[in-house]
Amino acid sequence: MNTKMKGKRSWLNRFNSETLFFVTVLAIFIFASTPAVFALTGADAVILNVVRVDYTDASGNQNFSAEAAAMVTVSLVEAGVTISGRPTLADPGTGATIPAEQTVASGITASYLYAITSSANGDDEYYLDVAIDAWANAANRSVTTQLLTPDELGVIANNPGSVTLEASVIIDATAPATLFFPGGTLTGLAAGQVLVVDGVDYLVDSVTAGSSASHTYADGFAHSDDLGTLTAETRVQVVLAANPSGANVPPAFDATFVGMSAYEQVLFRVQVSAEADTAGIDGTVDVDVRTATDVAFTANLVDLQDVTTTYTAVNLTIQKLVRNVTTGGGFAATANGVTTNVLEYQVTITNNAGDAANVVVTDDVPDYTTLVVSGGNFASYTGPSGSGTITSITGAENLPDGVSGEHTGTAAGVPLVFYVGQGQDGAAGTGGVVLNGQTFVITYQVSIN
Amino acid sequence: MRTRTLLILAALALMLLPMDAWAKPEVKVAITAEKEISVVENGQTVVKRVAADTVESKQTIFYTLTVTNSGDEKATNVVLNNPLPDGTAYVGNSAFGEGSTILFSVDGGKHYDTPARLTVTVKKTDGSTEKQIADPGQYTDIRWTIAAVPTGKSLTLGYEATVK
Repeated sequence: MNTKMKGKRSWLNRFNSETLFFVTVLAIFIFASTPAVFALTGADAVILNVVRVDYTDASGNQNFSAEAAAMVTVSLVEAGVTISGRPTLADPGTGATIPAEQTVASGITASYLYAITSSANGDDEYYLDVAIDAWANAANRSVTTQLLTPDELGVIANNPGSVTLEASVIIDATAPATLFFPGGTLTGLAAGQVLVVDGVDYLVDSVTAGSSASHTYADGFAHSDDLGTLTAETRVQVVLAANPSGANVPPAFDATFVGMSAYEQVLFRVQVSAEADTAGIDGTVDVDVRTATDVAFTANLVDLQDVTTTYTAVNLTIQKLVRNVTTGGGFAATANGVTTNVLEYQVTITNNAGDAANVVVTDDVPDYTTLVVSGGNFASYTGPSGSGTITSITGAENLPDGVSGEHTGTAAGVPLVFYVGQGQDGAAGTGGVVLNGQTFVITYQVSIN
Repeated sequence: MRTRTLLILAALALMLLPMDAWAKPEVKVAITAEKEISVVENGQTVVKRVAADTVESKQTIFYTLTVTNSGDEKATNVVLNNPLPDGTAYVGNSAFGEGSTILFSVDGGKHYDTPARLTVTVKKTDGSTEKQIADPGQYTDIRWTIAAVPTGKSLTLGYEATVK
């Protein structure tokens, strides 16, 4: 008895375990089999129901007919958008990777490109809000946005407050590239826009508008004892093509696509700029990117939270050394000399972080000395692109990546001005850009009075 | 003379008698579409039916057909055909209609039969085909057949359909 009971319990236990296992597997299978898109009916589609009654009189010889119709419109089911990165061949679909947070040089604009895709069953307006909500050690902060054409070359709108995206549900498909939608839907869709079907972005090649079915009577009034005229639905026809700027997948539609949703997608660029305002300390700017289906941003809110851009602070160092050319010796912080000795000064500019712009070095001819000018040259330099001499008031002689300079005399106290780096323009009096990691060395000589 | 007048009047009366034979049935049909919504009344959530001007996907539409004979003769062989609207699926066992026989079609109204006898041909994975009992969602048409609708009589029919 006990053994039997034991055996029975053991069987039951095994049965329960096996049952649980199979139920779990079945549940996983069912879950895995669930289509990625929901088969809804597109908003604004009209469900037209026409009922007809045929009858005879008491004799059974005289035939009569009558009709009645009811029209119901499918309403919009709002949903939050899908925000992804810009789809590419390597990173296709609405699951394309969101752009990574960026670190850029101070003063440089960081650009983030997103793809915003509808997920409703019809066209809906999505409000956009992009704002700086936090920052540190950053000045002159700004954020701008743009809606772009699929090839990113055209700007549809600057700083848009909202965007209307189309969507509907496929009711028929003709291989390889034609889809059909209920008449009355996709009224804002046009060639050149992007539709996402089954997670793949396609370029709209052409759109043929449609219209809903209707049932009317000749005199325009509804009857229930007469026959009306049924006007059949004209379906919206959309021909799609590969999106060469996106996933670039040629369409291959067939009947299996019927019931799937098609969602419009737009490219949305967010540009953030700022300047690190504390030497040696990077600045940060946090931008919040939000969309919703209401202006109060409470309905179907999609929030990317903080997108942090780091602005690398400029860390420019300058060093001045001297040596006695007449007596020989290396550069050092100090040097000794007597009258008529020639001293050589070495000014070294090194950028350890960020990109320094408009770099201008000013030095004065030291007291009790006279600037040495030889053949018009009063200084020389060594930079990332090589070496050269510096002639006073030479303007752009050392453009684009060198040093130019000027001086107004040779006596003690006369300022020596050097315009350093890429794009410097001595004639215009503007310094250039010294990139992170670049070093410029300027040398000039004076004789002790 | 009086006799002659009476004869003429009698003849006229006889001529008018066929007017009774001009009596005929006049059947009107009306259709309403409703949906169910939940409302709170006196702290209680109750379900109400309201006109379905708009519906959402997956929502059920309750169609009600009212057939009224406002003529002066009974209507016979009354047949109502209702193709299921595009974008909807029939809800099984939802059709009703007093005094009527209800049949369904799965081929666009070419043939009608009872649910138990309605079949569709299904292609199997090995390429062969087999007939299966049609799922209510596969119905394309509904037909009500009523032997007669007496003068002044109204009948209520209906069914439910789910928006795809």
